[in-house]
Amino acid sequence: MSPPGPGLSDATTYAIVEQPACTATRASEAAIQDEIKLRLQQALEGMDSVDREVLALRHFEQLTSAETAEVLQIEERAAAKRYLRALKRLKDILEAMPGGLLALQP
Amino acid sequence: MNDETIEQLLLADLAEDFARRHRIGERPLLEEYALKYSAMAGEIRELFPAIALIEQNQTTITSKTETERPGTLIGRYKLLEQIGEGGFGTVFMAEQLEPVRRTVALKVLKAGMDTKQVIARFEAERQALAMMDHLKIAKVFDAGETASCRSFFVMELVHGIAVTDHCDQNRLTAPQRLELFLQIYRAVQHAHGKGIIHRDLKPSNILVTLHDGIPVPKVIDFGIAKALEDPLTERTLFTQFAQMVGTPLYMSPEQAEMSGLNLDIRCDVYSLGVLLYELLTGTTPRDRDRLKKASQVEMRRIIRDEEPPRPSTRLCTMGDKLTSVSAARQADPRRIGNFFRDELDWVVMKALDKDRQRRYETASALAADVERYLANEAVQACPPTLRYRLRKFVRKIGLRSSMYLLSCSLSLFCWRPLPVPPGGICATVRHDARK
Repeated sequence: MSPPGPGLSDATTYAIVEQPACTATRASEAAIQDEIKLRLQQALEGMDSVDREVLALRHFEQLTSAETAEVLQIEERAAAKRYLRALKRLKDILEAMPGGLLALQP
Repeated sequence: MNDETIEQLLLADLAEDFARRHRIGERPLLEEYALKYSAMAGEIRELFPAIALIEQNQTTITSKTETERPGTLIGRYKLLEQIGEGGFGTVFMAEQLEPVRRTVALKVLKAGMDTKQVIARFEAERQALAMMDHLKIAKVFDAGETASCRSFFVMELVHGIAVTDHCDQNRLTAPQRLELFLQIYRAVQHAHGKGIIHRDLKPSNILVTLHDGIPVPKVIDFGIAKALEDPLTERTLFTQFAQMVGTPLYMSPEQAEMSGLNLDIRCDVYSLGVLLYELLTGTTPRDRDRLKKASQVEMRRIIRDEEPPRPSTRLCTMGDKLTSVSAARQADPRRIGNFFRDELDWVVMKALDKDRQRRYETASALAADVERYLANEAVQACPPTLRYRLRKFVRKIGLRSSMYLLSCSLSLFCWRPLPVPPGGICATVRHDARK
């Protein structure tokens, strides 16, 4: 197994998102969640509208690859390409944020 | 297709699977994917954490508010008990502590909507909302932001049940339901007169409450949908997502499209049409289960393209359910369809027209047709033929008197001495034959 790529490390992400409810107090957990969400929202808002649109379709509107392609009126392979590119850019933005996601770890 | 394209398609599919598993509550490990698809392990490790992050926050957006619960103090309001939960948030009964002590309804919106914007839009609408003063409209008093950065609205507390439940529980007949509908329309019309569109009219927003023992419908949430809705230019991802959380069953096609078309009172006319349909048939024009299962694209397509069955057709095709629907309306299952056929069908279908240009222009126009129907007068919903007008006329004044009138006019016509055209009667016949 090769080590995780640079930047957003898997371990960090999972440490944050898999914080078991019983070990953290609700208030602090909620505060962390709100902070993460804020960061995510900021990241998304700072993105190019084309990238944001494809991410919204895939994740917020929960469309499949085929449906996304249909909405965007492009071929499925073009939609896949666009989606992966947007995802990569989102990752880069999240990494570039002050402290990245590490700062959010309790 | 080259290798790179195939790899990208596969990766997008894996990402979809990974996201989907998150949505159903699983916690898939990305290493599982990296090991199985080792050729793409690098991309998987690079991109999947971001997917997990988005989906994880998606969960918090759709899960109910957990930080606000009975006992919590929000500004000058103390939450007492949860009384409802809807697509947009959770409703509590709350006690206002000052300047007056009173019990109010407080709605806390889900996280994920831009709180500042929601409140700014509410403030913009506030003056207009204050101008609304109608017994059948619940007042919206206040709006603000909770400690957890969610927006909340404070409204007049209405003790009541959804209008459709009220009708069924009390077994109101179809004409009684139409009368109730007219009361609801008057409330909506009052708001329209003040320039306020509801945008989210549905039975759960129309509660029937007892006022001195008399059932009175009350429309709640006026002005709230507007505050939640972004103009197209500044619409963010989250609001777009949240907007579709609301039930699409009562939504006009122009709302479902989210095409940025300016909404006007005709979207309320459409929703009133859906309400009328449901009051009469016990079902919504679109199938509830089907819309629930459909994807966003499919759902929009159904609302945009599919023609719902007429109310009478719906009643004829509902099978076993017809017995209970008829019983709740004190009607004979074999004859209930006749009540709607023609006029009432036309009225409902005109209110539900997908093209708002062909819909009733105002709620008043719709209500006027319902009133005409109840008074046995000709409705305007369809270009009436002579036969239709005659039939309505007969029904209005009764068969006996119309026969009498008909015979009088016939005899008058016969008694009039016919002018003989030059050339005699034969000439007229020849003239006619040539035509």
